[in-house]
Amino acid sequence: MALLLLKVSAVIYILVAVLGLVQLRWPRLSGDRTVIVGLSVAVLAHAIALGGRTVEIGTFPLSTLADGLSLFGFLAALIAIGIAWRSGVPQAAAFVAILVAALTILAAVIDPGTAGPERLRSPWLPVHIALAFLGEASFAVAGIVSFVYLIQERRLKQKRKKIHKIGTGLHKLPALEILDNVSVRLIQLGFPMMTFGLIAGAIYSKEVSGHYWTWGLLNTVSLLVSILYALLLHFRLTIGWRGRKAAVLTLVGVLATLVALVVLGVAGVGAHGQDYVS
Amino acid sequence: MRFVVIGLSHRTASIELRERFAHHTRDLEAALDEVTKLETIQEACIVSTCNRVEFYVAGDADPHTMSRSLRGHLLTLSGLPPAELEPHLYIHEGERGLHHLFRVASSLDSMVVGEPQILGQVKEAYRVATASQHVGAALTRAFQKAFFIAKRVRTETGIAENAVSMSFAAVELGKEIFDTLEGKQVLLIGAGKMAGLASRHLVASGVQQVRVASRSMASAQRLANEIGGLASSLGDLPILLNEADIVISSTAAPGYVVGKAMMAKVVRKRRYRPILFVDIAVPRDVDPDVADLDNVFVYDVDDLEQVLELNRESRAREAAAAEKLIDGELGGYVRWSKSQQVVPVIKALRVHATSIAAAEVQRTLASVREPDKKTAQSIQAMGNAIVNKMLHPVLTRLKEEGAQGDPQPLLDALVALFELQDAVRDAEQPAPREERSDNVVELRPKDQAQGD
Repeated sequence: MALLLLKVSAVIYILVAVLGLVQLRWPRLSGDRTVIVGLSVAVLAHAIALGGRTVEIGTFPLSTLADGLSLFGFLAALIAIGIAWRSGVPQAAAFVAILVAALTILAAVIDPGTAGPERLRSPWLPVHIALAFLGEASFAVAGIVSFVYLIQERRLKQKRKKIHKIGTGLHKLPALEILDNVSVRLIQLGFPMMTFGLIAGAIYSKEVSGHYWTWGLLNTVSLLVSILYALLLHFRLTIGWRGRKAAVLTLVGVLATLVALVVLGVAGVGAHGQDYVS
Repeated sequence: MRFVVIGLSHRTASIELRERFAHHTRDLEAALDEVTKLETIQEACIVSTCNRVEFYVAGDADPHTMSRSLRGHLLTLSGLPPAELEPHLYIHEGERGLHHLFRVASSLDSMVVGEPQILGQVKEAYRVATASQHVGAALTRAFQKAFFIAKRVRTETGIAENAVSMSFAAVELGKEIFDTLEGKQVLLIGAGKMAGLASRHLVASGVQQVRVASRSMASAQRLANEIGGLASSLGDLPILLNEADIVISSTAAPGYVVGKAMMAKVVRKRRYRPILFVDIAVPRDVDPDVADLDNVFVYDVDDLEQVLELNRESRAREAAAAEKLIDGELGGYVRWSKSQQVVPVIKALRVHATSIAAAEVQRTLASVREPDKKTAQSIQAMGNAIVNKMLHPVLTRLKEEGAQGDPQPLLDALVALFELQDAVRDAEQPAPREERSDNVVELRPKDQAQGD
């Protein structure tokens, strides 16, 4: 039941993404609210799926990769609704919906697994996963927003002829400064989550394996991305790293994280590969 | 008199090309002198704006000859090989030329269809050409009619209602970058009319402060007072650019006012906060390379056209109504002006014939010994009757051709056969201006009656 609902929500996310992109390309077709409505329906289905899964395993579903991805997608979808409301261009949320759809599909397709062996259980695990995924979700949406920023920046710079390639209406993407601000705020939000998530992970790791830190793929990438974003925030304040450069770096960080997650997911192993099982 | 237009506009030529001519026509009177020195051309008016450079001329020669010599003149001015310039030129002769003039004055050929500035610019061009005596009867008639039509188009169609010119594009672009213009700083470089118009629109959109920098402190101060802004000197440009979010540049400077090296420093200093340049000057004020800098967005007049493409559609309907109005007016005007065309020749022919008759009557009377009053009167009457009977079919035919066909061959023949050149020129002497515009108005109902 829970899995079915998850799949339903994945399909709706895909439809919303396609619809939003179509509306951006051919604004005549727009019924502005459809994207928001569609996202809301999908999020509702997704929430019920999460609830069902909680009932199914008897605890909040956080301890497997599939559950983590599902939560990750859910959080990103909530942020997408926020963007659709606030930016004045609901269709722009389609870009986030693409990410959400990808995460949810991944979560629905890979083996949901069980809560993991008894010896790996600890109260720190859900804390770690919740914080880490909240951080990831913020970063991921920041990355998507940066991607939209790059499109918008290109539109504005390549003024001749090409300007209307995406969206023939001038107002079909949010304003550059809004995109820049939203991206930074999301990083500012995600950064402490990620930091505490890493700390919680380290404590958990110490409990179950005796080491605070192992150089697994996800650990390494998460650490590097955190450092990258710390630098990004720092240089924005000191020497004004913003706009294009910042957007590219944000996007790089997000892609690295996603690649790490997908590689682990496709390999069909736990959230940190073989790090803890061996 | 034949009418020819040659020119290039935002529709046919890039800004680089237009800049060459804009530079040359800065001293309009000198440019007009050069044109009227061309052999075939008697009257000239040059309309030079940031979107077009057009030469309106009239002369007695064949239109092809006139346009050939004008084309040669433009090639010399541009210093370009014919292959590079000619594809960008348009030439309209006679009726098509008038049509073009009417459309330009009515703002149908403008980048922003319906924008109000162009009529003022055409009027100014006409004023300069008139004041420097480069305009005669033919161009006066055509331009007066163009102004009359433009006024009708403005009042009778909705074309001007949603056109707020380039300032509109500046605001739209500003919103694309900053979302809202509230609290933003605007810098005007150059204190011209366009800058003033643009800034008023921006102020209406909520910008917080407008600064005006101009070469002349006095004109900067004047515009600043007018729009409630602050005046600065051009020397402070780096500081001003550091604070500004939107820059509208419209100086008449021949070179770049904002260069890449200066802007690169400014951008670092302002920590890459986005800045929008709207460069409505021709030649351009902002080095196009400035756009390579991060978070610097530069739009020149050509780029603005791309932006404005968007709402062109909504204006297309009103424009169609305006086109129809112009076509109607053009038909009436052409008929009227053709019928006017035969008038000088008719006058000259009459003068010629009656003066011969009068001379012969005098001679005859001189040879008659003591003619009584009655005899003198009948001889006089005979002279007049011969003139009238002889001329009647000729004049009727001329008037008919004037109203419907092309009277030119007949006119040419008459002028050649009776050697009327000088007499026609005397008859063509322009009447005082006011009188003529009255003429146009009086003729209007008649025009319409003929037209519909």
